[in-house]
Amino acid sequence: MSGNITHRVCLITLLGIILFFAGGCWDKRELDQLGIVSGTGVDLENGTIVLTAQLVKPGQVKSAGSASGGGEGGGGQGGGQKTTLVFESKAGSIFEAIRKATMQSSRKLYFSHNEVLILGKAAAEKGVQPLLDFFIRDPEPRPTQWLLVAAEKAGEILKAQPGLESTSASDLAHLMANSIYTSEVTSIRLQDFFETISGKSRAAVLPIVKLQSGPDTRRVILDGTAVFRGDRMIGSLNSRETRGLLWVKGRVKNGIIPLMLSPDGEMAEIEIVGSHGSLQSKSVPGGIEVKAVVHADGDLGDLMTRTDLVSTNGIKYLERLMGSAIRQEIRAAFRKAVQLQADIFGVGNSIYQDDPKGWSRLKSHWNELFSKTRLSIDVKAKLRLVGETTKPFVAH
Amino acid sequence: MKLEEGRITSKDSVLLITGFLFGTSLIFPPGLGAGNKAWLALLAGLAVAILLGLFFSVLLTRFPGKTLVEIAILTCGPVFGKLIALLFLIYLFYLGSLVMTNFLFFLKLLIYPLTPPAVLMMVIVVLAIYASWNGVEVISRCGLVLVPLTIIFIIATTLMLANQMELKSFKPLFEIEARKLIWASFGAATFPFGEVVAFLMILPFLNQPGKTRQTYVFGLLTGGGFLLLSLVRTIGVLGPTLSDYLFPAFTVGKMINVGTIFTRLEMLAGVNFVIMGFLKVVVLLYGTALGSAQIFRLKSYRMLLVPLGMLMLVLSLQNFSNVMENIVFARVTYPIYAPFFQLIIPLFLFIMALIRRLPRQAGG
Repeated sequence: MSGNITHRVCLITLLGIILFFAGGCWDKRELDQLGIVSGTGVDLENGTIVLTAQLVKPGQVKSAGSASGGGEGGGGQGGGQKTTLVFESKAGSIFEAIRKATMQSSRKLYFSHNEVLILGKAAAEKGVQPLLDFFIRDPEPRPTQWLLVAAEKAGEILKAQPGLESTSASDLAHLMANSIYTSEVTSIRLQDFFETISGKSRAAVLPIVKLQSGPDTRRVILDGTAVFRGDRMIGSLNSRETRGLLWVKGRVKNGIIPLMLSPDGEMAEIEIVGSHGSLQSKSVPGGIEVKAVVHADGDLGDLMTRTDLVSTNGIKYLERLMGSAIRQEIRAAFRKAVQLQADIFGVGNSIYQDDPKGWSRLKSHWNELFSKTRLSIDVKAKLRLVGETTKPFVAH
Repeated sequence: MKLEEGRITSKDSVLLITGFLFGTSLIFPPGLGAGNKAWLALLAGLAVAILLGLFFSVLLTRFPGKTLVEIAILTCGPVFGKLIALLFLIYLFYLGSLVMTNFLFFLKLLIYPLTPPAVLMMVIVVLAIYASWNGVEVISRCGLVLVPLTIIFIIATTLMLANQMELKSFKPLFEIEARKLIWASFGAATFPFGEVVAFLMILPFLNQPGKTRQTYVFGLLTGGGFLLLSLVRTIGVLGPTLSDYLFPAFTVGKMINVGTIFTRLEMLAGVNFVIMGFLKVVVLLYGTALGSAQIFRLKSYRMLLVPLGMLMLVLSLQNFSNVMENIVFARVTYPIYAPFFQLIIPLFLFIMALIRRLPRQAGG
């Protein structure tokens, strides 16, 4: 019996010791010690890195939410109660700039909740490798954060007033998710960019964000797509060209295609409801042949004309127009890619994936070859639904 | 006098082998040297390991109820046999410390940057000592509880990442230099599959010795199968950048995003790794202690657990001065170093047994 008691005492002591060690509290960092970064901007000014970090003020976020929700008014939001705090720190290198922020911020920056990483235009044009290495090497920042390029300074974007969300970074993250509704802007995660740029094509794209003056204040707006060759930004695509690229990538999910029916403004609008896109490329003597195959499904969204096109023939006619509109977008994007000598369509990568031996012969003069690529486009456009009416609002 | 009275079932042992294989390999996927063709290397390594497993079971069936140490002493005599057994035990011991070093780098980098390494390792070692103290039955029951949990985690993370996997991540399917693939497959065969040689210290305690072969093969297939699933998941998400990450399985955990609700689940991978690594350390510590007790004819192996565990801990802190040494060791040195213990020692003992016509029939 006494042996049993000894046993129990030993067990309890051991449990106590384990409890003491296994609490996992050594590295604890409580919420009130963390400077939660919601958005990070990296700019380059005369060779100095300017890091802008947008920190969330957790208390303010809560009060702003309850003020608008509970209808208590009292100028909670209008009275300068900002939900974020923006720090700017300058240094010769990224990590140093981040650590230097602790000289002004009472809490050490915590990057695990960083939603967007914005690169200034100047920094992007100089080359992003030195700027992005930290963000995939360090354990805190996530590979899933959104990566964007600012039309001018990244810092300005983070200083913008938030819209409906609590921080402008969170606004941007939602805009990235919204990009599927137009497919005229793209959304790229850090890991996606890393993967594309390390691929054989050595070209990638990122969305461009800029500030637009609104009725009350300047807010963020997405506008076009930055094109990277190697790690440098060398140009940009407009919204139509962006969608042209996304068709081929099979990433168009939603969007509106306006179809001009007559020169005096008669239009039909197609709402894209889904698409598949793929790229087949092969190397032939004297260049590369690329075939883009796109299957697009749409619904008739709007007829801005008195001509009733809701008939089997009318729909065929619209499908033809839709197909050629898609072709035009793809062609425009491809022309831009060739002009910039940036293989953003991933032609090189697709050749490598299907024929790695062939690729090894091409890779040494790839840029030159890519500019001599012949593109053929195969679009199958389908109109499925016509909405709730069968004739235009006012017919002839 | 028996050092170990416990008996384990074949089913529990299959799970224990599975968990042992998961050990460090969930987080350091085998065959990584082959880039996004790592799955090929893993399959080739598994095939080799199954042959190895069949051979181990032949050896164990020839000497029912005897551990490798006892077999060595039986076949090669008390002096030379013990020397060979000692070499083998050093391998097990060193492997245990390597597993803990892997742990250390992982935990230190990603989860506990400020906690002193010795404290992290202490938690694992104390648990491992406790489990080994209670004998082989308790160890196998640890597997019974922990391994199904891990399998569920693997399946769950795979399902949650299904929306991010792309077929093109695997392309080009077979383009790899033969030399590189063979080397990577060899790497996978020695780490983790060949390490089941440690079970030559555990499987003698099967309650149905006839099931040794079945246990080995099923254990390897289950472990290899789920490792393959986890590897395919990782490649599918990361593509060729797989080999650019130090802990790709952890990185894909970070990327889980199901409807923006299930996110930031990398700790699932972390927890998997820690509990399976613990299982591996337990098996190795137990094997080392039991074998040493058999060599030195001790009455119990238990008193060796604390000193061996502590030595393992100290060694794990000293193994590598930086993480790249660990990577180079795992990719370059280990595949050359390990086969001596995984294949040559058991094979040598087997040949000796054949030559000396051992074991002699008790009746004849």
